[in-house]
Amino acid sequence: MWEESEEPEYVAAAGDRIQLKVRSPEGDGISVACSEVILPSASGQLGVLANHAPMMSALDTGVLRYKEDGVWKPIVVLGGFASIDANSLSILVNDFEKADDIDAAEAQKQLEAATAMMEKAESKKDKLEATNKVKKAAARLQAAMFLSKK
Amino acid sequence: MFSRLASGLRPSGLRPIGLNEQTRNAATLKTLSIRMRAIKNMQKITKAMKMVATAKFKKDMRTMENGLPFAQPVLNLFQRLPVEEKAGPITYVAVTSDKGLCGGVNAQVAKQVRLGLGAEEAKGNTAKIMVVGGKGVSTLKRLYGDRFSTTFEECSKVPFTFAAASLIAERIALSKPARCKVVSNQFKSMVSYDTIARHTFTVDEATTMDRGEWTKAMDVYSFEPSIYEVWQDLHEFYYGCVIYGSFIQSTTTETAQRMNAMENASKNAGEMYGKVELQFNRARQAKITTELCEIISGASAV
Repeated sequence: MWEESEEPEYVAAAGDRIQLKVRSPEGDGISVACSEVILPSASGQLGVLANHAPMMSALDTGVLRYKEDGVWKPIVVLGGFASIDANSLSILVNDFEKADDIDAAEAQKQLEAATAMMEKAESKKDKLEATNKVKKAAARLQAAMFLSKK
Repeated sequence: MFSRLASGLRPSGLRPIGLNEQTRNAATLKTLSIRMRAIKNMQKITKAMKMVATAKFKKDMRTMENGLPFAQPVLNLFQRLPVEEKAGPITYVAVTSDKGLCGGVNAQVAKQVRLGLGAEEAKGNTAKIMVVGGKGVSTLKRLYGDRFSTTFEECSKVPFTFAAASLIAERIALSKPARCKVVSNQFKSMVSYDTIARHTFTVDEATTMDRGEWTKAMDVYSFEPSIYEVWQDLHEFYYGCVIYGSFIQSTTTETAQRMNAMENASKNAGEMYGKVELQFNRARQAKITTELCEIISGASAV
């Protein structure tokens, strides 16, 4: 008789087979088990399910969403790399922010300020900086909105 | 000094002690007590430095433990590429500290750079040096000043972030090295460390590498969007990780070695203090004996 058993290391729901690890240089970020992840890759949104083939991708500043226990949760990531191998997804980013700490109204104000700065920006360097700020503010707002909709 | 004192002390009858010897005694006592005070102060300073180093070590250790898991995956990935021994110009990146009094860490790095440079130039390859840290600059400038291309000093003034590592990595990438070796200290434990010259893959090597070997190493992963678009970014990230990993390990090693060095210095200062204290006591007793003799001989003359 063969018994099929799930092997959760901790309280992971059955079916959450992807081990998601988000790391920034300052320290380990998040380590969760989830069933599906949507990455903001440089070429668009990338969905990852369990048993994905080994892959490496560059990530842009944006919102990373993962489905834990049937619930979608967002994280703001600020650019980096993602690599998946044997159901282990490692995200190496310059910085990340958990969505629970973001205040939607504040994020909206930041987005408006950043957009205004981008329009005023003159030199290439300023434009680049301003564009990055806009992306970051937009991602934060998106994550905050995502949470508030739940 | 002691033997001179002893010869002046021989109380052979009523030989009076000359004025010179008396002042010499006093002067000796004063000199010795000044020395003792100086040694005590030195010991206080080294003890304080050790405590500061201990506190900094805890912080550095934590930074290292947090940062290495971040830098390691990409390093492991690039480790899969085969190392091809090629001729051509090489850039050495030496990771040293800004401050001294940290044992032999900087000397070891400088030694490895010297050895490597000697070997490369014997083979006929031109070599350039980039130095991170003021101590490396001062050590290597004398012999290899003409081969310096960029130096990064005062990096430890601000907490070292990945952004700082990226800046350094960008400079290295901009110089478009054909080959590159990063010489740094790897932290093993509080008392031991390894100085290694890590072979760092350059964009040059990656593009001119044998295609078969390269695909064999990288084919395990499929790249999104495509490996050619991602590679440039990935390689820059790799440079950043190499520098970041080397630097945080180097800093932790430096702090640990400073702890050890200051501990040894405090111990030595303590021993020195003991020796001088003995001398001082002997001199003090000799002076008292001299005075006693004087009194006795004076009294017996009466």
